[in-house]
Amino acid sequence: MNAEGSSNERVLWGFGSVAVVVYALIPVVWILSLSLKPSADLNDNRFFPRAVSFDHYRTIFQDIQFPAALWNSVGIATLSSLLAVTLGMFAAYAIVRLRFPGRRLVLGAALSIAIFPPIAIIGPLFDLWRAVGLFDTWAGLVLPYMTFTLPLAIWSLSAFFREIPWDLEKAARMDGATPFQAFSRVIAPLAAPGVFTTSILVFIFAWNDFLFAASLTSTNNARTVPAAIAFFTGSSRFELPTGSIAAASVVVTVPIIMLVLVFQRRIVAGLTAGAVKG
Amino acid sequence: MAEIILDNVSKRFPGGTLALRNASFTIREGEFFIVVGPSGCGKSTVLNMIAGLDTVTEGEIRVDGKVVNDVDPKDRNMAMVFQSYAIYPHMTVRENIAFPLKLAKLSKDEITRRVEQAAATLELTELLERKPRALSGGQRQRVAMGRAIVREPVAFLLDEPLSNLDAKLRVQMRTEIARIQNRLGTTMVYVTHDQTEAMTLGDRVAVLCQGEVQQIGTPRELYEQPRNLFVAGFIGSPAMNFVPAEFNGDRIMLPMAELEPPETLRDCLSTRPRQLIAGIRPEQLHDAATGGIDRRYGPTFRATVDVTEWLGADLYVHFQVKDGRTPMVARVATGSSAAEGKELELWLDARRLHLFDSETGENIGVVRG
Repeated sequence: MNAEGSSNERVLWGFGSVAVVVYALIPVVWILSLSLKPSADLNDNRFFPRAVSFDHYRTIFQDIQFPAALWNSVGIATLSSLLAVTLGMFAAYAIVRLRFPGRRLVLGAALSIAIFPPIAIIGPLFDLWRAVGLFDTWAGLVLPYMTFTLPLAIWSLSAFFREIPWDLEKAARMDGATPFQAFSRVIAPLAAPGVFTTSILVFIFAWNDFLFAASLTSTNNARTVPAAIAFFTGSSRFELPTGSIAAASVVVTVPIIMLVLVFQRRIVAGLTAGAVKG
Repeated sequence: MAEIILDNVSKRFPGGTLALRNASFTIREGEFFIVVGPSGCGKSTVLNMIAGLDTVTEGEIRVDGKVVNDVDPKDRNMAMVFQSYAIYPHMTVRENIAFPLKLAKLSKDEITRRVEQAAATLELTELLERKPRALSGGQRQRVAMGRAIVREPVAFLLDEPLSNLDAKLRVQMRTEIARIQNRLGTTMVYVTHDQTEAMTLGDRVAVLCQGEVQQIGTPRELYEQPRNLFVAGFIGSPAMNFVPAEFNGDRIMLPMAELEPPETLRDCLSTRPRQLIAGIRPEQLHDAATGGIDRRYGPTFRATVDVTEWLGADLYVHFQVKDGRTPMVARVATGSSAAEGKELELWLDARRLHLFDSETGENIGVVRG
């Protein structure tokens, strides 16, 4: 390729990237703009607000419902990702490293859970949870979230484990490590990028879920933000809570963005560089 | 330091492959013991079983008299260097070398002292704070060595430690390993596919082929008295020439010449005619024109030179035997006038001729003599 061709290429790529970013960000900017408009301006048909006001944010945090939901969301999503990733890590490690009968069965079962439509079990689950007392509790949401994200965790983590040279584990065992020490001090640190990536994916799944949250909760005890937003009301029955919904949506997006930004530096490929010859 | 005994050890993998069959040998205390063989011969399996990374299917492995078949690798106090080096990429060189000591729960001061000492031995002192990815291949290799020597183990196990280095560095590290072993006097088991490494490093060498121990001995014994065709062909570079031979009860007929059986082999051959394979080392073939030949000890014959390889100190002459179509190589003095496409008169020094049974492949001079 000559210089002209490559500069053409660069322009094309640049243009394409801008187009994609704009396409993805317009709804976000729109929500942000709505959340900052004073109530009277909500229907003014303008993309950018004429005046900026933080009234909607004040409103949602004054209501006891939203802070409770936020706390539930953070707690439930964190617990779910911790559990799913911890269990997924052990399962994935066993699948990659050990030759045990039923290896394929575990992977197959995991896959079938992943493609199982959640809507199909929501009714029975509602009855069951009410019977065993899990309805409207954190555990009642953590359990299905963990179950539905575990396959994802197992599959993506086993891909990461496969990349780690087995010699490292043998070396650790020769250096005097127990099997668990070899795992925790050598293998797990090397799988860290995979663990972070998987955690974020699981966290986002739990954070965004509406179906389970709306069906399996009824009060502020366990209702998460996506469900809580649906129960927002305006200050009078003639007013739509558009502004509050927009503000709440912005607030729930922030932790996700922070999470990705914070862990982005940890999600670097090539952490194993230098382990073996090369 | 330890004496390691393999007593009738076999290894069968779950798939049914027999990786090692009835191996029995003793690795003496403080010995530099080499296990050599082509790939897939089971040599790494031997090492892994001594290390405890592979289970023993049958037989016993004893270290200093104690059976270790069921001892966990971490409790065997052996250090291993892997072909891939297997240094921990998320730790600095210092942390890598200190890792076994930390696991052994040594005091901080003791760890620092020993790490610095090992680093000084291997000239790693300036690299201690680096991460493995910033090291060259040779440096990584030294880190792997450092991690092994730092813990003062009962034995070193090295699995093809030099095969990923370039030729020059390999020779350098070879000397280094020999030096370290001499100084520490620790039992060392070294696995390699490279017969040069085996010959230059080993006190004793075990030659493996297809899961069976072919011969164990000093490099000199393997070279001068190879037990069978495999060992004869594997040890030595360029490899030994093999030509079909026929013994008619009195004389040995080779494709290029006939000769009387050399004195050393006379007792091993009865008067009964038999088919044999003759083994001739390249240095047993001399250019008849350069002198120093003695027809009492072997015949001369003429051959057409295919290719010559000049190595400075040696000249390798490749040629075909007239009627046998067997390619052969001779190592002649550099003063030889051998030229490609020309005829050359060669003298075969038969005093060190090897004769192998054409069916069993056994060296009749060694096995019966």
